[in-house]
Parts: sequence; structure tokens; C-alpha cells
Amino acid sequence: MGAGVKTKVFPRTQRIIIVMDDIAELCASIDRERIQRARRSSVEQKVLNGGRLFDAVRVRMISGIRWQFPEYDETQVEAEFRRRLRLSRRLELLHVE
Amino acid sequence: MSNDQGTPVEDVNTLVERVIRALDAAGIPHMLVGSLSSNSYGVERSTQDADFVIELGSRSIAPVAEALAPDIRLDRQISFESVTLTSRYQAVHTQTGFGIQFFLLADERFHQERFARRRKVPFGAVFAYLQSPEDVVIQKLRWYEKVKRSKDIEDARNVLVVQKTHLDLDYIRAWCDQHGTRTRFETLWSELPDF
Repeated sequence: MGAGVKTKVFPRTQRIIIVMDDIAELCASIDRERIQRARRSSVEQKVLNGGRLFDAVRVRMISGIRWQFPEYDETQVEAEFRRRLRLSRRLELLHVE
Repeated sequence: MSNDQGTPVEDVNTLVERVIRALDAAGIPHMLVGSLSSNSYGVERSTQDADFVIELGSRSIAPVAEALAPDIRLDRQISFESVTLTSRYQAVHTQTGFGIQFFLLADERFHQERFARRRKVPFGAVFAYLQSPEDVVIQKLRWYEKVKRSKDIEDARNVLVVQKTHLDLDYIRAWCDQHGTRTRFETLWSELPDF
């Protein structure tokens, strides 16, 4: 765990929470890790990862749709996935500063 | 990968490989742009489209459309993209909704130069051509100035921070001067984290 991050355990429930002393420091530490990981990977590996990430996101989104609409058949699930994809493309265009 | 009914679902990289094979077979020079190319030099993020710049010349897109059919549907009607101000053909993989866009190589000097500077990189069993990291930064800054899409500035920043010591800064500055994005570049460069 990076600097600025502590954990606290609640004895009765054994639940663990992460206490962030300094959110800015935590963000910087996550950013550093992402950058260092990216520097370690080759161009050949990384060019393939965008597609792999899409495949992984697709599997998760489809699971979510099935969970939300258990009555849907496969055609309806796929149609809802494509609808969300179209929506996300439109939102991306709206996401301006 | 398969869906619940056991129907195999083609993964995205296999789709992109098929597109590259179709372009190669049609003799159409190509270059991968968009997030698949910024991913290669920066920090990976998921993408919903593969964007290619193609040098179509007097060739037809029809053989590519035929090679990709029936599961990849390519609209043979050319459309105009308002962000990049370029003409494009659009295709979609009907099963996954993954999009493929073919931007026609524009005559503008920067577009010609970045196409000439493209680099050959293995993509699975075929070869893709990627724009250089400098050209990713230059083009992302340009789009950001036009549209202010946060993902463009984020991609530019990620390429700069990951590639930091491997960039031709004079080349970037020269084009940013021409595109009116030099101030934006210098601000981004000066604010890069020191790691």
C-alpha cells in the first residue's frame, strides 16, 4: 500500500476500511504506478491491450445487463449492450471541458 | 470467448487483424490512429473503435467491404467527421458493436508527413502501422483545441509522461507553432509529474 494510506480493522465485524490521510498523495502514487507499468510494457504489447480491454468491458457489461434484466433473451441482451455502447459514444462527445 | 448460447464471439484484436489483412489484400496503405495508437505510447484505456487512416487514392473500398462481410458491415457511403474535419467510411462488427473507421488521408501537409513517418509494428499475426508518439501528441492537442474533449488532453499528457525522454521535442514544437497549440503544449510539458 502506498504512502498516505492506512487501513483500519473493525474488531467486531472484521471489516477493513482504507483510510486516506492525503488523497492528493494517494492519487500521485496511483498515477506513478500506472506510468511505470506503461513504461515497462512494449509498444507491441500495448497496441493489443485496447482491444483486450474492450473485450473485458463487454463481458462485464453483458453480465450486468443479464443481472438487471433476467427475463431478457440473448438477442435482447446484445441489443441492450449495443444501445449502451451507442450512448457511451455520444456521451464521450459531450464530455468536453 | 462465447456468449451464453455458446456462439463464439470474435475478440476485437482478431477483428482488427482481419481488417488489416483486407486492407493489405486490396493494396491500400494504412495507419492505425485514435486510441489504439495512443495506447501504444501512453497508458492503455479501453476503446470502442479502431481508427485507420487509409491512402485510398483511386482504389475502391469495395474489396475491403466484401472481405469483411457479412459480420463486419461497412457503409460504402462516405461521411464527414466533424471533429477531425476528414472524410471517412464507417464499419461495425454486428455481434459486438465494435466500430471501425477508415479516415481518408487528407492532403494537408501534417497529415501527409505523419503518414510518411508511420512505423511498422507486429499486431498479432499481421503488421500494423502506427503514427509516431510525437504525431499522436501533436494531433491530440489539435483536437483538444478544437473540441475540448477531455480524453484528448489526457491521452496527450499520458504519451508525454510515458515517452518523456524519447521524444523529438523540436518536431512537436514546430508543428504546435503551426497549429496554434504551442502554449497548450508548453503548459502540459511544464506540468508533467517528475517520475
